[in-house]
Amino acid sequence: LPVGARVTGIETFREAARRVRAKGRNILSEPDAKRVLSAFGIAVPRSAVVMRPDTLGPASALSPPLAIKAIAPGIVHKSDVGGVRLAIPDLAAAGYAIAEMSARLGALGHAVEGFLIEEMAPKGHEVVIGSVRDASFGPLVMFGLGGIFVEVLKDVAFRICPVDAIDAREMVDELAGAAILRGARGGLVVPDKVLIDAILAVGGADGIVPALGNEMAELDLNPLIATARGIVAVDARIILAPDSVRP
Amino acid sequence: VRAEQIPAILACARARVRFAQVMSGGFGEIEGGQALEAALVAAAQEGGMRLLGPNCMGTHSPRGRLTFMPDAAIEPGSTAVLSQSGGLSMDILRRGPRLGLAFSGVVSLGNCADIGVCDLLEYFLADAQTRTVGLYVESVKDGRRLFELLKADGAGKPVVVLKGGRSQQGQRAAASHTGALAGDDRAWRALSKQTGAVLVDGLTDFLSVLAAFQAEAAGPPRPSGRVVLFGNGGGVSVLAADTLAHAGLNLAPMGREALAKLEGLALPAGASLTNPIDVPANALQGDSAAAARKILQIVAEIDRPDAVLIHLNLPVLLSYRHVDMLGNVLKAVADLKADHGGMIQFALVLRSDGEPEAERRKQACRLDAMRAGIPAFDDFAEAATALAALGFRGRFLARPA
Repeated sequence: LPVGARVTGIETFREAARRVRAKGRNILSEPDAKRVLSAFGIAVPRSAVVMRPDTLGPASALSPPLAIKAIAPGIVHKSDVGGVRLAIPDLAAAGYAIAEMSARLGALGHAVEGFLIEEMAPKGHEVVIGSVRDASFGPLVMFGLGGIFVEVLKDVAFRICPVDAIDAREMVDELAGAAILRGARGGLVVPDKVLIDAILAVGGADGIVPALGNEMAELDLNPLIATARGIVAVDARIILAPDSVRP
Repeated sequence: VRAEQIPAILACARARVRFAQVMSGGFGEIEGGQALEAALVAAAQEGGMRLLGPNCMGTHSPRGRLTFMPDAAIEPGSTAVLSQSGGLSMDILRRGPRLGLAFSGVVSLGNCADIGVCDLLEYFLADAQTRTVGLYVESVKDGRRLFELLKADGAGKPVVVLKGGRSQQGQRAAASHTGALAGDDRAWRALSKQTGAVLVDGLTDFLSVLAAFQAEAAGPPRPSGRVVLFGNGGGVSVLAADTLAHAGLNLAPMGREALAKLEGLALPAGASLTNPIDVPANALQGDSAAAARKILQIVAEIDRPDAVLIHLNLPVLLSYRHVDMLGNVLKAVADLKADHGGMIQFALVLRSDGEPEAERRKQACRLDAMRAGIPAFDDFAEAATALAALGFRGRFLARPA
């Protein structure tokens, strides 16, 4: 983590938290959550936020294929209502997709605050990293395989924060599906170090969880895309602690 | 004394009393009792004392010649137990000594209004007489402190945790996937993996693992958990191997050199010499069970596993009336323990049919074995859990720094 990143991360978080609280909400928007992650050294896709289909200028530097996500705090599962489009080949197609999404969500009565346009992450294994505060033990960090493994099989490992590199390696070992990350049956190999570094960036002594302390209630990075070169958080959710426990 | 009368009594102590154990119930554990419990804590502070309970059995301390159970064994020992259940602390005091457990203290904590699990854990981790600590907990207010205490101790002393209520998912209002997956059990399993404290299921396992740690206090914990199984009974050996394997223990076959030596003993037909080693009882009768001694010697000196588990079918051995086969085999095990105990864990399964003679001999042998540092169990499930616990702690201590 670069010197100063921690302070920048905390400031980025607090600034976003103030804005969200002012609107009476407790969940950071996806672009805000990703700004916080980025400030803490966790890679996120290159992205731009646009308001309308005809103002795509900020997205012109992005390399397709692109993903488009509606920024709509009222929607819990965006993909269920057509608020996510993937593998968009170019900006023109992005404009059509945004116009269509805008009309559809408007018709359903959802308030849309803008659109997040992102570069698609490279192919890799989906993993999840999360954190939650236990009433007795304080913050916990979770690591698991994404998709069906976390949703159905609940193949995840928990540790009490802060964790060290040995704990993080044991979290990887603990997964029933660890062999998948290590390239079972000719699949993509993700070096343990990539996963360990990502777990430490969240739940390590210098990670995001200890840094934000009581101010963050829950964190979900689901999924992250892990490859041999590193890890990218393609979706992120940061839930603020109730006002009462803020320092 | 009725609950509502106690605060006034404590408040007038004027620092002449250092500790109060409040056995009475009717405080925070009942609906509407929280105010009285707060008054009790305030009164204890005013009186200048620390408070154990309320709603507890109190303290069993052989050194302090203090107990809460009239007929409790008062032989002082090295195992300390803290319990958030009074009834369970009495069960532990009754059943523990039958397994050869000897206590430095057993404390029933009750509602933990003042002194909590962590306060006494900190005390017993520092106590020179205590080498093993067992905790029965249902709810710990300050899990963070528990985690930090155990982490700071670095598994210096074995700690065994029996956590009640792990099957409850907790009433967590979770807005994230992570929150929804984080049941109570997850945090306790994490605690165990990060601190080396052994998490067990049920009172029988709790006592078995404590007995193993008490017995093995002298020897170094072994990380890998390779076990050689030796005893009489073919089918039982097969089943025992399954039980041990299921507990994560390794029953790899004997090495070639050890196997050759064992074959050189020319044991009677029906003996099986790989791992498990299964020898018919009649092969053990001659020459003060010299065959058992020779077999175990070869295992200990040449094969050198992490643990040797010896299982004996008591009714069969006792049916040879002209010779004390049981005593002779156990003597051989004790001698080997004395020679190799620093490197190899020895444990026994003494199988009884429940008849009075077998039960009587089992109990006497078990206490003798425990004094020699050899834990002895009723069946393979307990032995497997105990050996797996020793292996778990050994692996934790062998983690890279």
